[in-house]
Amino acid sequence: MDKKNNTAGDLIRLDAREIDLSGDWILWPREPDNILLESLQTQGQLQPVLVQDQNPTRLISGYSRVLALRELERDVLAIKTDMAGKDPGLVYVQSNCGREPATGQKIAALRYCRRDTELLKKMYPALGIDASSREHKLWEDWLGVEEKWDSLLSRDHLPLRAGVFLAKMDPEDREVLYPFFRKLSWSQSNALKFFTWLIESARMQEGSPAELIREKGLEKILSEDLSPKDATSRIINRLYSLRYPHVAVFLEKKDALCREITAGTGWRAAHTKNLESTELSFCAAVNSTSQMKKLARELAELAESGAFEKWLALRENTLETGGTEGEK
Amino acid sequence: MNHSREIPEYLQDIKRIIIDPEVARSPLTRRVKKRLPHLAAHILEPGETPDLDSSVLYLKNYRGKFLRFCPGTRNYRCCGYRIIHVGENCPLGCTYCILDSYFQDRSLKVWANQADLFAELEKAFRANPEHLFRAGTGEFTDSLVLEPITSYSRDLIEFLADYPHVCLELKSKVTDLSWMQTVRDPRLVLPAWSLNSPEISRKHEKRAHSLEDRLAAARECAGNGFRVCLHFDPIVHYPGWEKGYGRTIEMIFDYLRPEEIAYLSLGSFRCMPELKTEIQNKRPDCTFIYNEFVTGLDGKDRLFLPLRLQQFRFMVDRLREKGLQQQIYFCMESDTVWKKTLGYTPRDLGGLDRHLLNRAFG
Repeated sequence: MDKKNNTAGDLIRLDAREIDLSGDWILWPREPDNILLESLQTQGQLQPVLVQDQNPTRLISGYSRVLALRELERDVLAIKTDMAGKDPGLVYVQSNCGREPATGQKIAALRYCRRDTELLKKMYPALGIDASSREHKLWEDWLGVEEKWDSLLSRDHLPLRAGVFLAKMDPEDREVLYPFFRKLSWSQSNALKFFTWLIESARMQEGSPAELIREKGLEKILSEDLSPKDATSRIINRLYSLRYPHVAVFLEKKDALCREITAGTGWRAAHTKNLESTELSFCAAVNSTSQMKKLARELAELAESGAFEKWLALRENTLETGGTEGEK
Repeated sequence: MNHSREIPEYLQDIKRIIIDPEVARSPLTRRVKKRLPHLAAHILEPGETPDLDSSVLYLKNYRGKFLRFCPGTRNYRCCGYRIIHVGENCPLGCTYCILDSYFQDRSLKVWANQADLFAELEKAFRANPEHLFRAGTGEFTDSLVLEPITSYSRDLIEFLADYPHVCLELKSKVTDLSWMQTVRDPRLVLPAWSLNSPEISRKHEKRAHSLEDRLAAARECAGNGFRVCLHFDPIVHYPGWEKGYGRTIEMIFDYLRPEEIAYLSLGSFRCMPELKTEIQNKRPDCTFIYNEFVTGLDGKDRLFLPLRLQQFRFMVDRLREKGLQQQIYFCMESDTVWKKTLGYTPRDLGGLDRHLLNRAFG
């Protein structure tokens, strides 16, 4: 092959088997797919790969193409690059960042820089992350979390924003929380509720999240025979009861009463003012005049039945007793 | 009590004075410079934007309204207090202070164009000689905290001496009484102190004067013919609150007789949601922000009503046992709270505004 007497920047032909692919800067290695194989077979290699200007020849970028050309037993068209003063990982990312990198790719690239803060500063823009952006701040937080969490983030088991909470926790707390995210996949909304209510409840009790989870047996929910959706829902409800013990008891009673007083009618009753007001709203959907008349009769019957008085009695009772059945 | 003009500890963080050019020669500016001769004073160039932080005392040529209505909301009963706006921010740094989320920066601002202030007050008060006013300076700042360097309250008292239909409330957490010798008619000035439980005061009002000192100052005022006002605001829900607030109520009557108290307000901790984040950042050890707050009808976070009622009932009962009756009122609460704790609503008193005017001028 044309390996001799070439200088950096030259386009050369290499035997695919002789290129060393072991560099740890190959951050996003991917096996070649059929589309790439077919393209190389019919069109030939349209884009050269990047290799280091030294012996042995080490690949900087173009992993899938080299593997595909090996499989096709063809030579590789490469550009020799002088890497003096350059970081191969950064060059790799810059030459592979045609599209928005996936979360897992970003993690791999950022973790690669973990021991070099100057390199990290250069890697962010290479990944399309502006230094003044909120995403940048979120990644900074995430890098403070143990690497074992990365795969959970890559698989969307928790949102990047979770790092804001995790990074501030003690390692012991993170360890106790880990199974909740390994076993279950959390939406952004539920994950933020989970962290917020857990941390705030723990602070209110002047304990740690890990202590609170153990004390309240929350981890047992993970071993119950529940669907993932039911499990997250149960955990969230338990945390809400811990965070807002009195409010939770009231909401449960209020929801039950609203269902009870409108049962068998087309109306739905709701109270959204957290006891600051006596107002109860009734709503119904209508698609015909006859239905409207029926609903009007039902509403009149609701008024006659003392439905509103039942609500006032519940409110009064809660105000008098303080809703003290709540868990603390 | 402090009758002198030493610079107290809570004002020692002031490192720079910034002055608007329009007020560079105003009497108040001259006075401040004289009392803080060791500090650099920078007069802004026209159009120059000041660099403001908590170390700055900004003597400003204020162009807004000086006499304002208290920003109450329609869903809760407001006391109808009129604000005399003399400046913004406070150096005491109490954990729960709403001013932290209210203003853009933490500099201590003082409206140094007093002539404009007095002109506006004169116009308002002369136009309504039959109308009684209960006004105060303690809404956007502490009424007395800057007194050692500005004597603003003293100036205001001198000015208002010609307006017998205006009662001035000076609400504070410090015990500066240097203004007292200026008062011609003590019936027209209501010195007022914010109170809290000993634990909350110790943990969250670290730079303010102690409860004992505040009550001793109140007693001194009472001894000089003033009636005083007391404000339990914010009342905080924490483990052991009954003992704490009970203790402070006991203390009040170690220093004052019920008839020496013009009125006493109760207000539960409430805030715009942003303040919670401010407090979390400023005081990570603060736990009361994790109480059961719900969104009130005014959009502020408030303690869940049954828990507020528990605290209010307790305090009203204790205060009544000690002889307070119609002095007690609630700051920004609903008729439900009034009825369930006091047994009547502001309407039964002829309206809270009128009731407190009667108490102030009574």
